[in-house]
Amino acid sequence: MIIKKILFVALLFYVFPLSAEASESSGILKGKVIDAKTWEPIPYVYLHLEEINRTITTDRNGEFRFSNVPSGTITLSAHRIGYMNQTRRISITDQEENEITIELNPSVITGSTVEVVGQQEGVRGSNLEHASTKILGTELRRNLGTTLSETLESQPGFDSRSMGPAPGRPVIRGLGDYRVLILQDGERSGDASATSADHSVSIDPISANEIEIARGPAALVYGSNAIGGVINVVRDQIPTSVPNSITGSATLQGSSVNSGATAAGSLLIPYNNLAFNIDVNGRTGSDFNTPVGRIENSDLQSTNNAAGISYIKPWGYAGIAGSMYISNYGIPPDPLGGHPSGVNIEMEKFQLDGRSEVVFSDRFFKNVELNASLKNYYHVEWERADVAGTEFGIVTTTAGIKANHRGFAFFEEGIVGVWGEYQDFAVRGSRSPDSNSFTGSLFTVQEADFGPLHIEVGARFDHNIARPKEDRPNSAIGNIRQRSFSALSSSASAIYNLGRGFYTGAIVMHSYRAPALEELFSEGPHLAAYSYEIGNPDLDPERGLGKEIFLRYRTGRTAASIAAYHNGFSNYLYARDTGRPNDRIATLNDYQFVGVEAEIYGFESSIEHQFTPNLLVDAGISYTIGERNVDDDERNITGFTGSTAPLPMIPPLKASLGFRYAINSLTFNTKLRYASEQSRLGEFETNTSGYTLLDAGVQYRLDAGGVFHTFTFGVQNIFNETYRDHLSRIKDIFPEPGRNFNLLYRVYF
Amino acid sequence: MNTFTNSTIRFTALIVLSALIFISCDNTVSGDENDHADAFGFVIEQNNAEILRFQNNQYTLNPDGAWDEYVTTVDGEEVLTLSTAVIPDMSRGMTPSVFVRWLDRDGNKFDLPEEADGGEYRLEFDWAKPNVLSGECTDEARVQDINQIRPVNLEQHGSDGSWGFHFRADHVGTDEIVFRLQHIDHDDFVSRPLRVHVAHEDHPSITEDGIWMHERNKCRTR
Repeated sequence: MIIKKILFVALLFYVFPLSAEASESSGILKGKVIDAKTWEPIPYVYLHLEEINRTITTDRNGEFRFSNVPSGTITLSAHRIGYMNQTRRISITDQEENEITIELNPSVITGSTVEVVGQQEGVRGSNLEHASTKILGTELRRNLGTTLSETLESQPGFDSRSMGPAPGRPVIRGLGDYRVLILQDGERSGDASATSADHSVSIDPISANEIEIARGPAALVYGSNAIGGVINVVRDQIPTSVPNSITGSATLQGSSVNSGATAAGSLLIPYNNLAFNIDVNGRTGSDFNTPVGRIENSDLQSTNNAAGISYIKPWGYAGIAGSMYISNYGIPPDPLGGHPSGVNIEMEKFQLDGRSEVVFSDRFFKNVELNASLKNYYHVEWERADVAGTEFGIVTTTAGIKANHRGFAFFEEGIVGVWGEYQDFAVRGSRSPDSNSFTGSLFTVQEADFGPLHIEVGARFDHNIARPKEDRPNSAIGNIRQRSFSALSSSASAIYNLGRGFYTGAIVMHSYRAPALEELFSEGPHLAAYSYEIGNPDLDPERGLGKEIFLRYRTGRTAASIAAYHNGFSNYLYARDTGRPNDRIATLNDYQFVGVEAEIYGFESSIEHQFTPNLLVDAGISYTIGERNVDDDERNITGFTGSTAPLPMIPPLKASLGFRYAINSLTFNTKLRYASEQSRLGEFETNTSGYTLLDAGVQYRLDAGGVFHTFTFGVQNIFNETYRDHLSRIKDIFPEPGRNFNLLYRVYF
Repeated sequence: MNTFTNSTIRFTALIVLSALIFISCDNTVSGDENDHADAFGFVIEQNNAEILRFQNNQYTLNPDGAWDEYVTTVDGEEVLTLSTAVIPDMSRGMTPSVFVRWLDRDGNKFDLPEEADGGEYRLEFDWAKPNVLSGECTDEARVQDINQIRPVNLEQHGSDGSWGFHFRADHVGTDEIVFRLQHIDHDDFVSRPLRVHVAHEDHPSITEDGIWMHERNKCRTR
């Protein structure tokens, strides 16, 4: 097996770039970013070529250079605090230096509105509206939290499933776990965060350059199960461009609620045709405080470091990055749930990523990208000082090829690809057999424009094999044996430009999710999750049909959207709390993996309006209902009389109202957050009261000597309100953290 | 060979070497061997007669009818009770050796290789109440804390092996104990809490406050 892996990696990084020798022709995109009012150069502008996912930051002179851009039209977005975001379409010509000047309009407030420049005639902007969104710059710094889910929580429709402050995982529109795919630089995280609430996400948000959220057809490039969405944390560990000079950033963050401190730094170093990237961070914090005392055993320490190198030439680039994530954190105690002292989790992940891309100037394909990734993940749950509870080991090998192509028939452009994953999965401390899985996928996403109508369609075919290392036909949970699944998933979106800034559209997604290994084969105690997990070897795949309609309004001063959605599942897979103590570990309830018919539906809306050049107001609201069908057997056993019952872990109605006021380089912000009571309860859930919280903060930026400083000070939960989150597995024992003073300093150089 | 190819080869050699080092890492976790029987319950025996049986998540006290002395009714519930009737040796306050035997899914008794004999299994237990006084150790403090600290303890001696032990009564009161079957470094079986009661009796070795004045009832502080 190892020999095969070696051969594969050699193929990726040796044969592929050499084969590109014949195609050394591509375009160069270079230029300068200047202030539209003063014509002064603007340093540290974050530039992103969207179709080919290349990023670079302007140097101290405001200059930039992308050295290997395929010919054709490409979308460039520019982001910088103090200026309006800008998106423009640019034509790239082969073997030429395509030089442009980007003029950014100063804005004392950076909102989510985007200035669109150089619009193609006839298309009228609908091709720049997607189902996907991104978070970066000011917004990312303002919301930066301890975990990825805390960072995203302020987005409409986003919530955090938690089990103490450390192990949070994003939930989108009530969909979580495997239905939300978490990526880092386009690669799956390779951790166990989707399997259980006590497992944290092995990506620290402090090093994120931007966070992309993909929905609809674009999500199919990464997986067929992400009906909730794909969250891609962009760290650019493998550089895609050689900067003009050494650039970097350093970050310090402190928070009072857990005496937390975080430090991070990144460097991008050019050397001839090579670019080196170093990205390090460390985080430490003690127990979190609440208005009624501290959350016992909620401390955390983590470090997430990476080093990457790329060889960049006109034919494309080849790069490799190694990274490590080490984290120790506590799961708070649950005297009634089986562990009165809590559980300590030690987690480590070592990852090697390789990516190579070749640009073709005169062929059907604009560029072809090969990528491979190896991840070795391990975590152990310490129930007492000398007693290891459950240990997880996951070794994941993935590889893929994807190619962006030029238009054919009525499609303007598209992407086709093939992807494979082999995963070795082992759990110690339970009866679950060691097992492995193989997934092979073919996918395509195509885009077309018909005047004001922009259409994206995507399809993905997956074949999955789940194989225990030994068959157990007479296992207590059923006949444990190899299972195979195949299915086609598909998605389509249409966005129509109604004119005057209005867009309307719809997204449909037919998702597919093969049962995960632990859903099929697990049998054993999981103390940190307060559960005894019982798999079901006979589970069928989960199929979902997601529908969404939306209306958006976007002008220079206003960005607004409203969306209604419905996700129907023919076989929604989840671990159901049976309420029955296990007959081997009597302190834990049996959690049985089941598949049920279910539907999750709701709406969300957000608006942001800049009333004056100095004042911006934003508001958002989201509401989700989740329910499952109750069959006759269950009605007979439980005496339940209804035909549907609420699903567990569904967020209540949430709303927010925020104000931002700017004076020169200072921006003040406040946000009122409201959550209603959640009384639609899944099995053995308890009622959660509503709450209202107030946050406030101030941001300051300073250009000095070619160095750009940003200071962000915030207070969350100003009135130290005692509140509980419905998606917290420990809400009956501990409330959420209390008042928190948070300071973030970041310098770009 | 041109410069491009030379550079590519050098760069490739570097990254392939890195990959080789990384790939050699294999999954460090291996699941438990599935070659032992699972415990689904247990009995506690004295003189080969069952004092109690835990099966299907339920306790049955005195299932053989041989140990009426171990059972009294407290607050309307039958509980395992330590009294002078089951503790003949009042100088140490302990029951004779009692032994745990494990039950399979069908309730049949079976043996597991005990750690005391070189095996991988041992018995562990957790009491609900702490065993220490919150302050200075005085007779007054003991009486004051009598409802907060543990009234009963469990002793294991070398001759008991991994499955034998003695209940020891220290003062009047009730506590709960959870029995755990430990396999190397993790729990293979955990029981529901068992209520254990120490009776108040008129006896020369028991004070009016209910403290059993035997040689092993030592005062402990934090």
